[in-house]
Amino acid sequence: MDSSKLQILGLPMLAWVPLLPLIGAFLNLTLGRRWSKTTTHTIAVGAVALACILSIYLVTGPLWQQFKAGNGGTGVEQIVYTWIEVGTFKAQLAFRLDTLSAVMILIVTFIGSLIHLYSVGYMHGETDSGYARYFGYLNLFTGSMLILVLAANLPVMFIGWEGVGLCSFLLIGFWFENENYATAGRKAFVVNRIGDFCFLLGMFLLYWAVKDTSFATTARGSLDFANLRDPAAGPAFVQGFWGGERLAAAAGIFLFIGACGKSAQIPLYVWLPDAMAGPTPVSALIHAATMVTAGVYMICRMSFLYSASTTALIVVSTVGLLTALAAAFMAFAQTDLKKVLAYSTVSQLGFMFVAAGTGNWVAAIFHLGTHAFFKACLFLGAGSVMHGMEHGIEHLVANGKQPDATSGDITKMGGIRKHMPITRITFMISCLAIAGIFPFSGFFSKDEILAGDWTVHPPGWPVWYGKLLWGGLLIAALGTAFYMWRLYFMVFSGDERSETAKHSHESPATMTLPLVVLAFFATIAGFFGLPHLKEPHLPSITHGLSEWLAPSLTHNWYMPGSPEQHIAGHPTDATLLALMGIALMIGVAGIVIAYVLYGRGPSPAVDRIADGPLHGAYEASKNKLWVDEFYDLVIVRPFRYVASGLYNIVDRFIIDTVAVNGVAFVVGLFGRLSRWVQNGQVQRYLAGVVIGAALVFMMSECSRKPTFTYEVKDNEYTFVAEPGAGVAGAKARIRWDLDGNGIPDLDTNGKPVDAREVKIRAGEVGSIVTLWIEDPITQKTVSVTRKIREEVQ
Amino acid sequence: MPGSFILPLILALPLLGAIFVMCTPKAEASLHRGLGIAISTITFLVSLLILKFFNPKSDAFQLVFDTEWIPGLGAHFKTGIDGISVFLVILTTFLMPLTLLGTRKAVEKHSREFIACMLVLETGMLGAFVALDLFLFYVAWEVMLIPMYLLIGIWGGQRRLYASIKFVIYTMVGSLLMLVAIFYVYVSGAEVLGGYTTDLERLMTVALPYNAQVWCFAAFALAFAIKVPLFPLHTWLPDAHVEAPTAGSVILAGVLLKFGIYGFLRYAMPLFPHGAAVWAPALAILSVIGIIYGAFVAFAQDDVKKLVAYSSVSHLGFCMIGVLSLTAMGVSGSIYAMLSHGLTTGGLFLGIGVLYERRHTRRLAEYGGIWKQMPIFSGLFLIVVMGSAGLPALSGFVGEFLTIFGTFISGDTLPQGYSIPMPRLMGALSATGVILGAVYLLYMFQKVFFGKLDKARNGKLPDLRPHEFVVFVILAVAIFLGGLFPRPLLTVMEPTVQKFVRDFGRRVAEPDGPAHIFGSLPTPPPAAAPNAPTPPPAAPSAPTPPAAEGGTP
Repeated sequence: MDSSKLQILGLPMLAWVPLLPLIGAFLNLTLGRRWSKTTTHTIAVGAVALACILSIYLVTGPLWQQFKAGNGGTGVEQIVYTWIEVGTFKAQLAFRLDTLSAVMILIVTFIGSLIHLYSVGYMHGETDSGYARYFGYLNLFTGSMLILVLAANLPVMFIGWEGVGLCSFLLIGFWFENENYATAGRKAFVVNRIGDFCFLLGMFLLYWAVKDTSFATTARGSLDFANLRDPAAGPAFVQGFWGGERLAAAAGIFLFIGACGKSAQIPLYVWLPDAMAGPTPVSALIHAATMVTAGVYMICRMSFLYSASTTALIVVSTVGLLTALAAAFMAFAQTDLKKVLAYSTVSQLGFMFVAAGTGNWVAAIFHLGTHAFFKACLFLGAGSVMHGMEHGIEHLVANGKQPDATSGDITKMGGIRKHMPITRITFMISCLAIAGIFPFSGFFSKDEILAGDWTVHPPGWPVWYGKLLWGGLLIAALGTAFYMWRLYFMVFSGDERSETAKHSHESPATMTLPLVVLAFFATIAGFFGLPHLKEPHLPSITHGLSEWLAPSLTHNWYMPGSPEQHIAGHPTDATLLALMGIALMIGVAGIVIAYVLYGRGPSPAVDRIADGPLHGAYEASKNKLWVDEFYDLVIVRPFRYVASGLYNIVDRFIIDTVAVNGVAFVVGLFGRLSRWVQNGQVQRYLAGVVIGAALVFMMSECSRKPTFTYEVKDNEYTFVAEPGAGVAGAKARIRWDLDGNGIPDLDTNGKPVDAREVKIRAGEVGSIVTLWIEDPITQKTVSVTRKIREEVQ
Repeated sequence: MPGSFILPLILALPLLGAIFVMCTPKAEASLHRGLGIAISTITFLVSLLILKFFNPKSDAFQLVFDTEWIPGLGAHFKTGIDGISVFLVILTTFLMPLTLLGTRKAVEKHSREFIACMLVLETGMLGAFVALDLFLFYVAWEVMLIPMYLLIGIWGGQRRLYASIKFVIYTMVGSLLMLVAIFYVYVSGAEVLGGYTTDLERLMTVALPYNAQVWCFAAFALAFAIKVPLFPLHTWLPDAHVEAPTAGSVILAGVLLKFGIYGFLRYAMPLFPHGAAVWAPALAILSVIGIIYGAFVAFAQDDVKKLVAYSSVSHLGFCMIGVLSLTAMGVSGSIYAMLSHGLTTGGLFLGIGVLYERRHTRRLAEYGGIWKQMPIFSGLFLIVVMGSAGLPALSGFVGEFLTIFGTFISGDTLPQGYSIPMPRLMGALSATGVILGAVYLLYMFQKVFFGKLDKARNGKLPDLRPHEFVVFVILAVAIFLGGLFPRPLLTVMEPTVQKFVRDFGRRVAEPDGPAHIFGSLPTPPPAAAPNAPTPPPAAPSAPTPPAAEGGTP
């Protein structure tokens, strides 16, 4: 189909997908305070739902046709207008719906709609203006994320990239009256900006690399993904840069640091656990559908770049593994419902990055998708639990009792299964999914990642490294199953550990309906990505995802002139099934351990362990490995000190006081001095005249020493004595030694020469001439000796 | 030339307006304000006519108006604009009515003189942007100084005398050295051109000897670097901003600082390319230091106005490094960043004015939770803050992005004989400004608008009044439009920017020699071509010592 015909009201259809939520945001943020909550949420939910319907139409209609025709990687391209153009740089505001972005917009709009719907129930207690502001931000968030995933080039992606950062700032700090919440929002934005800074550098580097290639100036504009993916760009990415490395390594690592910011990887993950300060549906939106998936998506989008550098792949997978392990460890001892979920997100994102770092793009997107369902379900379920707990608190307060629990403290929960059956079932399904239990979705997606690690082998990749990743992730998976089921048992099993929990109750339908839908998908989503087995031969829909994504991804290692080589290998059926079995056993083991320790509420064994040999580890987990404290010590505080040091010492003192006002002071000093002199008193002027005259005399006369001059003319020297100051010049007695023998010369009469001016023939002058002057009064004699230049013709 | 009447007209309108305002009765404060807004709005509307006559494809000076002014000196009243100055002129005429409207209630004492000062200031600023004659430029440059001095000194805060005198002396030091350099150019230009002239276009054809260029550039650069302000010549700025009335701060940050960058683009670099080549590495390093340093110091402030003042040091650093990168991207980005900075920083100062008018303090610690009390203002102010922090799709991004981008890739395109040290590192270091900008701006935003509304006096603040609302909506719309549709503006700038880069490249490649018409000096090895035309006789004897040395008073 001709993509130019896909228009609504003269605007390309693809632009409408992000535009609809953005319009909703605009309406609610400008006029929302003036209208009712019903209008507000009708607009907000409607905008995202319409975007979802439009996305489904675009994917099943035009994109499906393209896919059938073998153009899934190009998909539907639409240029709205030229955004920035200077010289050879041209950034088009262009969108592209290919098979990869299709998966993303479906996830974002679908889960986004459910979260919007859920928020209607969750946020009903807000004031009208707060309600409008909330839904406005939520729409803005969804719109930014849609720009990010639909962008056809890096600059446009950057709009969405920073846009979600802004929205996280606004939504995390939504209850801004709490200073800590506001700070958490600011932290999210600043940490993201550190990543964005590297994203920018990566973008510049890519532009610099390909600017001389033929397609640098096409209608698609600069830095367009399809252009960059063109095989003609390959040589630009593998050119040498910074030592023996390929340019792709530098660019890839820069972009990856950007992804670390968005997708909460070490070292930039610290904002995500704090992000739970926002309303719970926002956490669901951040953790599941938007924001944190951006980094994984971007890496897969740039698969062509990462396929050209093993170094970049190793960096990505290593950071992913470390994050998966560290975050799982930190989740063990958390006692806040949302904090456990937050660390589990960080950990699961680590899994996705390991997949991306092993060239296993499909598994990364697969896990991204299944995780979006079960994590959204978990967060919304957590929100539902907290909502129920808040009801319990209200109930106690209404009856004049002191509430004995906060809404998110899992140590005060337990037994909630009795009060919230729907929430409990959906939460359990999601916990099974995240623990990787067959046949829930998480089992298949996690397994794909593990199988990929086992067989990965790009050139330059250490043979054992894939196995190490596999082993590391298994440990992380064990941890995941444990802490998620610890959470489940603590919340739902056993008896209520507080009065508040006893009075909790199930949430309204607008909240439970999304939970049921999400739980349904958390169960079945795995069946789109079953592994490729030779026997039995499964129908193609079961591994539809990898076929669907294939046109948008680059699976082959880039090496000019050599045969095509997959980054990831294909394990045999037996290996595959064995790996699946091990993974399943690990998941079950985790649940069993959790059951033993927490099955009926925390067992006494927990305290024994925490106080016993594992005390150190328990404290480390509880204190999140002291990373926040560490950052505070080495970054935040020094930043403040440097800032105030620069201001107070460099700016105020050195530059302003010493240099600037110092100059002014010196000028002023001269001014004051001359003011003192010119005070109008004649006596002082007279004294000045006298002192001045004396000074002039001293300087001009007294400093003159006796000497003589000479000049040569017509072979004759003329010497003139200058007796100088302080000598009674006219009466001074003068002696000359002109021939250089050291004694005064005599004239023809035999008397010493006594004249101011003497003449002598050139030939008779010695090389040294001496003049004696005797003061007639003091009888003191002064002698002057000079060397005479020979100037005899 | 069609439309040549516009520039003299927009110069004359505010000046005549100022005279007219001075003729009205002293006590009619609202009449003065109304007149000020009306006159500046008319000026703005007339200035929009420029766009009708301006040919966006041409890289030459347009709408040129040229008439003899002081025949004895060879000075002309010559005005004209090109792609570099056209939007700066419109920014000036655009900001002036907005400022007067936004600060309508701010000045009660001597309102007649205040309005007159603002209008004279507008004439001075417009004159400096459109002047194509060194003499006219210098006159306009000094004309700007006096009203600004009065604005700070009469309507300023507690330390207004200190701040105003510091401002004047600081600026004077630079501009006097520039005057000496102008004399030198004037005299040696006359020897080559065969007659005294201060016409910029004619003087730009003169290639001065190497040493002269080095010293003359230094003199010009000092004047402009103080205006930018470039680290470490920036300390007048926070003082001036803090003490100036809101309107003065808006104009100071919104327009006046741009003359630094504009001076480099229009005068210092085209007139003395060799000098620019000598000083560029130092200037580049100073601008990168300024970007980072300004951001750090901004973070350390407790005074909102000072914080924004230091943010200007950081932002203008981007503009400077963009110009020095000598890429179309960097230079266009620099001009764009100036336009955006005018909107965003102007908006920030207006917002601070709104707060100050209500609360009479600028200390961050005195605020907190204002969003609760003034939601409309807070939302609009957030747009301005984000515009300033360079959020994509808002105006600040385009300029920052292009200047950093231009710097980053400039390594390959710098002309022979001109270099800035390690362009990629410079680009990366300036990009840290992206992080730091978010740090101090969000810190400020959080301290003022978030948190508990726990200070009793903040509980009674009224939200935006209609006139303030109008101003902020206009600014917010402009910031959005600037971020979403930068291309129309960039396209208009492009031919001139390309010409600037091209000409500079050719001129910096010009071999050293006595003062001569650019391009006429034979290359040192005699031309190999057999029928090469004989070079024109060498220009009269090489001028003696550089003016900057001989001219120190």
